[in-house]
Amino acid sequence: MTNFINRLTLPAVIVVLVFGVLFYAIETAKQNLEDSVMISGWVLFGFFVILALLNVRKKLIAFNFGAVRHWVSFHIAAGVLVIAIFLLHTEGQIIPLGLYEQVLAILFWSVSVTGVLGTIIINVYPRRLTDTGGEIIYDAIPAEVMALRQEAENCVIDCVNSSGQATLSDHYSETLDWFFRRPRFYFNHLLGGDRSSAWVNKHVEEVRRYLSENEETFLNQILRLALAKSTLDRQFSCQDLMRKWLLFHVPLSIALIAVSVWHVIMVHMYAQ
Amino acid sequence: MSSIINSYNRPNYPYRCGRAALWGKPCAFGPNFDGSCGGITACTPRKNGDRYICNRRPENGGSCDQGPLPDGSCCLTQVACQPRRTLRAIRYRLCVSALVIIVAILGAFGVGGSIFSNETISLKNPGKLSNAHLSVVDEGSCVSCHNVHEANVVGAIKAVFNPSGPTSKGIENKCLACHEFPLMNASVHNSKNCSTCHSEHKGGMKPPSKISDEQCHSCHDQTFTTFGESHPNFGKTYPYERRTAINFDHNAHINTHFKDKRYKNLVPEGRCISCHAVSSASKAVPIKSFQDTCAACHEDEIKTRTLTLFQLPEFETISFNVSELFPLAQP
Repeated sequence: MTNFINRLTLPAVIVVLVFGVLFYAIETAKQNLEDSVMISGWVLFGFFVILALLNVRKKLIAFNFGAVRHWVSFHIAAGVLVIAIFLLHTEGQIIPLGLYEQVLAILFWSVSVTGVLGTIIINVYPRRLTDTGGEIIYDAIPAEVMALRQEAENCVIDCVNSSGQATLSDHYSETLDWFFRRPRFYFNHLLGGDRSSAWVNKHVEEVRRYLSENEETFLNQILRLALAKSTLDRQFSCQDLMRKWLLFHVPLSIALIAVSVWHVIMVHMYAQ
Repeated sequence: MSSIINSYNRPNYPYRCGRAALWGKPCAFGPNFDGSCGGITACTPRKNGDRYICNRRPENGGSCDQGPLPDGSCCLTQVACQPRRTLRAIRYRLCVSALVIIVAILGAFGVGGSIFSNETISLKNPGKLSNAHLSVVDEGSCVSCHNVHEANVVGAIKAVFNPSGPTSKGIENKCLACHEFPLMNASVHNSKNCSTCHSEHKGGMKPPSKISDEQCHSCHDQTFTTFGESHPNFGKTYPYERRTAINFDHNAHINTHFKDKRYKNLVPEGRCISCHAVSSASKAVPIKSFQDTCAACHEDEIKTRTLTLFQLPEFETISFNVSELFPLAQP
């Protein structure tokens, strides 16, 4: 968090300066009975485009246009500035009167809200991933889940073969098999809970008393795999959310820019 | 935490293995770029001279015993999966969809009205007209003020780059079609775009924008700090030379009496326009009637005495009873 705040310092200073200059320009225009809304409108639209450049920067990996983390910091600071400029532009109105302007405003506030949520997500969940431990590529998680499941099933089969007892296999098929099928406890992981480990420990320990020493060895192996799966589930939940919030933010931003372009055309066609 | 399975990932591909999407075992090849399953066969046999050789990867079991079929295809096949789009591809599709939807909506309702009916869905209307204008201009009758509303594409594009708004100063101004300002050149109405002070499409009753002290200097050359404290003297005869004119003390009223808690409920609302009849303003802004402006505070101070300007001559009324006096007058 400290690094994030440090990275945010310079963009925040720039943003405050920009807002100061803009506010001065708007007040000067107002005093001269000039159209200050036009100034705030064009600056607002310009910032929409600048904010959208982050997505372009992410795609231009072959060129060195500065580290993405610095772009993200500027994106966040400029995003806050844009909210202030929007309120200046609408003279404090959250939702304007016209139907088209209402669509525009709703899109704007949707992008802003998803942006704020995204800022929280990209600050909270990476630290949670670090605390969880391990590094796993998001796209490789299904294969990892399958590998753990296969290893657990092999372990159960080996147990049955070596001990001749079906206690562990029966218990596995009734309880732990559900856990190994796919990532579980998605929202509990997002909220920072550890229900997954508690669930695993509960179902492992309830069968331990019925197992022989030989079977218990296999149970311990399954417990180790289940705890690894629990860690993997947490990785999946956090990484999944860190990606999926963009499914809302980016398309809404594209729609907002498209609507804004038409708004600019309409304003110049009708009002000026 | 690493797996040998599906070790060759293709993050730039728009699809991911359908089996992996269902948390099954992903195949080593993954989907093709076009979205078809790439793992139907265990390998793609390589031709060496006139023979096909199995090239299944060691981590997948190495060369199989049966080897490739005579036609060069792999002998180990499985049912094709249904690859799923990656999150990145879904995001891209959502972006394109959002753009298409916006363009479609604008095309359907924003350019020339509604494609479904003759009734206009007012995507161009930024808000309702004020009550005053609504009484003379029909709602939706955009062309009453906006010439460009009925222009063709070329005219519309020209209008974007050539300021020709209905409230702009110049021959295109539509406000002056109804509003007359006889002494316009000497009035504030000659200063700027009408919409600077009189905003429209805000609905209901909207008074003109508040004019701050600083904004006075946009027209007045002689600068001052505030209207109440340092505004230059209007002169005794401003705006017309009238013997009966009252020299109204703005400073005392605004800064002293109006701030007095005792008269809080009597202070006129609306600042200037509560006393000044701006609708009939030309060179000077006339004052509203006594009852509308001063009466709330000063009515009691005016004595209830009739002002007689003209009276017919008349005899004085006899203040004693003639019938009583008559006997006394007898000899």
